[in-house]
Amino acid sequence: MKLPIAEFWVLLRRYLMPQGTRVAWMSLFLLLGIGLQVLNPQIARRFVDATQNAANTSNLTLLAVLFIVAALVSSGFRALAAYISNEVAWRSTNALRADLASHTLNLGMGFHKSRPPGEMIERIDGDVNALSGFFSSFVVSLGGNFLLLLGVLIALTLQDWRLGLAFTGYSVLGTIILTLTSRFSKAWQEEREKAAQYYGFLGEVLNATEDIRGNGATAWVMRRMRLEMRALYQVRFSANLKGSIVWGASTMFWVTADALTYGIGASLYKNGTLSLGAVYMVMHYAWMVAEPIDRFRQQMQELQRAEASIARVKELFGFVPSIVSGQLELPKSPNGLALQLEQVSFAYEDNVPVLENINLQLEAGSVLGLLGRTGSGKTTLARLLFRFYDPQQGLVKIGGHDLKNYNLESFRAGVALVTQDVQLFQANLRDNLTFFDTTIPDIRLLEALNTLGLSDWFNALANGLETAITPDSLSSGEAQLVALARAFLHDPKLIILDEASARLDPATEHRLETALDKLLENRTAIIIAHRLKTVERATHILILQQGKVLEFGTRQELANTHTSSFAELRRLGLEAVMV
Amino acid sequence: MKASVWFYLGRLIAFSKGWYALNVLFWVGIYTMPLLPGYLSKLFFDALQQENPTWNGLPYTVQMLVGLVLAYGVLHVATLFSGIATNIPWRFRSSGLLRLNIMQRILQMPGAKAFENTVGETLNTLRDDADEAENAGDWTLDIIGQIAYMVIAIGILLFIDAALTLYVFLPLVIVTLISYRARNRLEILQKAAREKSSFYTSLLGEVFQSVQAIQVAGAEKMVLHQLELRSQARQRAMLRNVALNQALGVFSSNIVSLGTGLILLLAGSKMRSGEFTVGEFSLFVLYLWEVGHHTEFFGNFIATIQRADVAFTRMMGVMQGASSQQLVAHQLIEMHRDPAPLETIVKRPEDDFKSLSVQNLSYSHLESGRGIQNASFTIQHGEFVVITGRIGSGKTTLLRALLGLLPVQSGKIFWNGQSILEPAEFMIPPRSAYTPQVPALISGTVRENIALGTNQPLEPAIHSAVLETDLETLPHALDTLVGVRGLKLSGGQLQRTAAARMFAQNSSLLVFDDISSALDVRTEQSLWERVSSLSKTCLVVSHRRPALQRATRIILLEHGQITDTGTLEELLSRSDEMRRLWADETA
Repeated sequence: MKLPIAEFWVLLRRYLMPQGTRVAWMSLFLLLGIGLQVLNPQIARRFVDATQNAANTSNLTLLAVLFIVAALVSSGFRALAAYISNEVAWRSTNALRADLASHTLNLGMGFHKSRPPGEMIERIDGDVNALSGFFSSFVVSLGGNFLLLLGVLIALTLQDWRLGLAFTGYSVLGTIILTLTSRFSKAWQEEREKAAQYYGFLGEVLNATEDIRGNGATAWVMRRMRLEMRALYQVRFSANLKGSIVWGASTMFWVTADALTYGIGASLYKNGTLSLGAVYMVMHYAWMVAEPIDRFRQQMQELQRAEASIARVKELFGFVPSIVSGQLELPKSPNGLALQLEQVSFAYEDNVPVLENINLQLEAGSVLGLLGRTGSGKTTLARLLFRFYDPQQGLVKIGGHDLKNYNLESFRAGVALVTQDVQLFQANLRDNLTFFDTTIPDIRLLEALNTLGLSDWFNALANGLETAITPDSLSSGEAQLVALARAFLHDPKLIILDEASARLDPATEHRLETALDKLLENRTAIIIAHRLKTVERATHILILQQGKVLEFGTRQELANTHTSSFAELRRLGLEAVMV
Repeated sequence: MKASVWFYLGRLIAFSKGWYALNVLFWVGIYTMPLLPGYLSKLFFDALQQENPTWNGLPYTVQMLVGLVLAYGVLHVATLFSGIATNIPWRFRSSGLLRLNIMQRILQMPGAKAFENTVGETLNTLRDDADEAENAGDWTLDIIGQIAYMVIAIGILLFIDAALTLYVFLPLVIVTLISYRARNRLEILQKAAREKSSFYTSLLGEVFQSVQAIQVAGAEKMVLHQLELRSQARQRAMLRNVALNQALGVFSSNIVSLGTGLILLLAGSKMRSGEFTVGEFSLFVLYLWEVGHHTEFFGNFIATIQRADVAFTRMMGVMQGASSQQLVAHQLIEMHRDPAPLETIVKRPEDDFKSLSVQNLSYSHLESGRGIQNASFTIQHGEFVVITGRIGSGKTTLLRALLGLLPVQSGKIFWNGQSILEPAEFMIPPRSAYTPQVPALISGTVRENIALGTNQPLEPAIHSAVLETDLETLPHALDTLVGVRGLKLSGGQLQRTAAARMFAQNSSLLVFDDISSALDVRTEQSLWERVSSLSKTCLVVSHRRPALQRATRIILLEHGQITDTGTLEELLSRSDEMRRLWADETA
């Protein structure tokens, strides 16, 4: 039987180690429980023999009571062991979940953009649940049953070596047969993948209800769902059928135990080696030999699933963050940080360059207005500055050092990025502003809201910072303001506003102008904007065209050069010419 | 009134009558067949104690018993395979039906308010609760098998020794009653555990929805800490559940031991006197053992049914007021064939757009109390109407209420002068189509996402949406996979893909919610130019000049109310608000 024990152990060793004491108690209770279980048929044997022989004066009542007590205590111990094993399983797998969440949360956008939240839930919670089930079933059912098997085989050998030999051979043979039939576990991996895909699809549909309804696509989506369902059904059907081969083999195994008892029991009884009570005991033990194997069969499907889950958890741990943290702390310069791009080229996919040979130099405290058509590479440039990606060629330097040299945590703490997509949690306003950081005092939140001109909006909220945020309660523009407040709270040295104002209507944006002035004071900023008004505050202008620099210079200089594209823009209006 | 779990399970069984009947047949076989080896063990001990053993007058040998046991094994395995092969379809049809019905309901509800909980929680219900129901339905088979087994086993035992049987099985009756009493407590614990679990997974889902924002805020540690808190809360709830379950388990397994002890106590003297044979003793112990496991099984069955009850309640929660009939409404599920092709949408003459009137439309958001009040306006064929206003002035809410994406609270909508009762059912292709502010795609090809099932050529729609050059840059053009499992489109590409999707639906009225937010001005200009050559009617939320300049009429919203309507010149001359909105667009 190829059980994923070794892999499981490698994966969970770290998490099981700290629970040594619990594991020890669990083992003790399990051993005691099993010991009494092995003892009980011996009592039954004495009882049967005592009834068959009139000369036997054993106290039948005493034997019956002993039998009951042994059974009671045994099951109590086994229940305790089961409870502790559950506790150990929960504690260790929760630690594993936390590590997985932490690991994947630190992976780059390249990893996350191809994985919907539904799939991540399935992979962090679903797969680890399977491991938790594996642990309880493995330790208590399989480990316990293995010990039980061992105890029974020893008891049989002590009774008569031929019995010991026969049942040991029987167990070995059975194990081999079950090993041969357990090759069908691959089917479960496929089943789990299909299931993850199916639920990923359902999650996408839930995210797209507005699109679906507004365009009358309900029938289309339901048909897709039926197709996805059918695909999952077919995989599940074959996985189950293959899994049931193990079940069938185990049934035959169980039946063989009876056949073996009848054959050997009858002959040893006839030649006087065994008493009738001993034959009864052998039969009782035979069930106890077959029972561990039968339990084994019951756990098989779960174990097969666990194998698939282990593979998937390991795969998840195997993803290395594409962004490697350096050592350097980001300098706490009071005037912002200088920015330098040296021959930077970048592509998401091979042979599809998005940025080509970008050169740029910006002193500390400058404000760069970044202009360009959709697809010109503006957003990508912002992503490189925040180190969501590293360029394939060239260097991005901030404060005189390559970004790669900075400690990522310190770097990101000092750089703020505000994008169009604002991601909100179903939590109160405070948690949405602080990301559950309880160390930020409310007064700072109120200050930030005040600076952003959000006081009126805030005062209108029913429960202040406790107000629950739902997808409904904020307009996308307001969500944008919340995102700006988040950035404010960080006191960043470098600010990247990626089309941050695109969804603000001009009147509301007006309220932000003073706040932006304040925010940009003594900081370096890069603003990607669609409006000339926003660019007016820039000291420098960079115009991108198809991933290349079309124009770069100080705003003043470009504005005064009549032949510049920027000057043309100013003359004709951003919208008339378009960059 | 809340429907009982048995109502739902009954409807699920009725849905798969044939499959269920086959399952009953095979599973009763699978459960009752093990009675045979128990009886054979009696014959075995009889054979040891008798010179020439007979069964009902027929002579037999131990060798024959060995052969019979093996033959039984083969038959049992064959039944097992048949059982599995019929079990999977039955199970899958049950949860599949629930999922289809829930999803259909979600897609019936107003699109912007399709479900109350988070995506994560709703997905949880679709996944786990439907599984829970499937499980409970399947357990009914096991329980039928178990009961059949018990009836036969106890019948045989009564026949052998009625008094002993009654004494021994009395404790079993007691345990069944007690585990039934423990039911309420178990239900409470299980509900708590489910809640804690969903509390955890919904945050997990949100965290992975917001990875970028968390990384930007450097909030990884805080968020992980929050996850940890919820995960520990779940652990505690789950362990309380385990403790009670184990306690109940000890209880029932001890009743079996007690029963065996009772056999020993009561049968001891009879065995000495030879009234009760070792074979009969073996049969009693074996059957009692099995039946005892079955009482544990009854406890588990009760727990499963309780979980299913909770699951059905949660599913009904997602069904948002639908009748319990609807959750288990029967419909075709294709296991092997292709689902029926989509019906082609036929455009009738009355679907052609002449005018749309809105009268006193109101909607206020429960949470914030904001929304729109008494909005009234009319759009004529061929117009390009722009709705504008500040953030939070109600622009999106107005569109959503108009399209039935939010439930209408009051007001009327008229299409070509006819009152529309169900805007959500009516304001769809071939009459209207819509591009939301933040469009969402579904994993599949660009082609599928644009077509949404229509067979019409997509090229005109792609051209109108100014998407043709983007398609050239995609690795497989229209057949490029997009969505979470495919290529990630840029914000502008996404919006224009959504626009193309809208154009492809061949509708007369096109509704855009702030499509320009991720478009540069030139792209936006050509988009509007191409749209106007389509001779369609457009209703556009925007505050950007290219749209405002093109507008035949502008509707100005302030604090949820329409404060002015007119051409750009008119509004600029008389409205301060319009001037403010316009002003910041100038250099």
